Amino acid sequence: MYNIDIDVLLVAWPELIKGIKITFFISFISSIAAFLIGLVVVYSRTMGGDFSKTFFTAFVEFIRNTPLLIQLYIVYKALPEFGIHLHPIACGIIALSIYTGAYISEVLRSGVNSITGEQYQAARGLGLNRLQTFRLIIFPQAIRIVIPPLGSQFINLVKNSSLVSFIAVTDVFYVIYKGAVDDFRFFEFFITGALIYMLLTGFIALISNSFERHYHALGRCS
Amino acid sequence: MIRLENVTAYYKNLCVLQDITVNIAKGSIVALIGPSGCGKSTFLKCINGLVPVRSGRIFIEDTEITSKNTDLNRIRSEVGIVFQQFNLFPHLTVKKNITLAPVKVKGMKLEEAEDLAVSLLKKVDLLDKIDKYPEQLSGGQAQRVAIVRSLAMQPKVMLFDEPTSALDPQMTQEVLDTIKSLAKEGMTMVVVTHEMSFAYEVADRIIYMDKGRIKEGIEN
Repeated sequence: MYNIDIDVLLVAWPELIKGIKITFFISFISSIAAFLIGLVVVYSRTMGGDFSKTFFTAFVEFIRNTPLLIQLYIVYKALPEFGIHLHPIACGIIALSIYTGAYISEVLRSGVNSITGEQYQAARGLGLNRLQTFRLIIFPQAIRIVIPPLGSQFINLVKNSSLVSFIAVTDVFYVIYKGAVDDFRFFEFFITGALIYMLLTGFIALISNSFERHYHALGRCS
Repeated sequence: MIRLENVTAYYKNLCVLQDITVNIAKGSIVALIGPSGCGKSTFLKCINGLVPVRSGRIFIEDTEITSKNTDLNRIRSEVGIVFQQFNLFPHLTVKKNITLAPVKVKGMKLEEAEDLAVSLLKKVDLLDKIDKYPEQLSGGQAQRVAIVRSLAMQPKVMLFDEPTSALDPQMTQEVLDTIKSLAKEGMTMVVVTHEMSFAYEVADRIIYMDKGRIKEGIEN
């Protein structure tokens, strides 16, 4: 019978807290940046000219068809070859933001495409310019439809952030992994790790659900 | 007021307007009739630049809207358009639907725009709906709100694209009455319609279109 040893967790607790803080920090900043990237990409692809459509389509396809781990290493190991030296945490944030931003742009695009061309014509017919039409008419309707899949993207971001431990960031996954192999206490550490990630992402699920209810109360979706 | 000179427009490779030349005087009401797909809607959408023309020129007053140097957003703010499917913004209240463009495009103060919304809604007898969302309106009410939304921009011309086609007979009457009262105020209007009796009653001129061409223009 396996004996669960809680003490090893108590000893590692201060380190775990530090790791959680780093994971939270990386996820939080990356979420904001990823959303902004997603916005720019979806605007350019749906309202922009031919060049920006082609450019950002190629961007999205490149990003989502290559592993995040490779992208992390490109930022962490390949950029210094060109004289760009960044803190590992910054590297993690950049790679995670771009990666998730590409996915978020696809989620937003499915929402934007579901808004009829008639809404666009009505807005332009009133004299609103492209940016106003997107910001005031198309986007607010699109975002309501895509809140659930959008929430999933932020949840994925938090979980994907564990990959930054590969580029020398002491995030919570790093602490868990180190604890597990140092003490040979795999069960304790990995279960604890799973619970920690669940708590972090559960928070996002709660926010996402409350947004969904909020918007449901305010008029229909298109 | 509105002048089209040899206007030709394509939808992809399909020619939808062929060599259209029309002159619409200030204060006149023109009814556009013809079978579905004959280019009536395209005709309207060309007038406010929602559909680009392939060749020919369109003038509104003395401004050529087909010229590259023209600020189309400004022209559109002077040419109101009302659609068959109303196309109200479902995420905004009636009040917001009406005040949005005057505030964002014309730079009107919010209180001023709201006063305008109140007075226009009173005219169409819908003041009690001011804080409702579009889904809470009947079709006829929604279309009258859409008309008010366009009027709030204080346009020089109003374009109507089959404004009653999605409505039952009673609601059709509500909307036609609203358009008639606009006609009395001297608004220049182009109305695409299947309501022949309405066309005869209100229009100064009836243009019959077929296959992208004007077949006949009748002074009424």
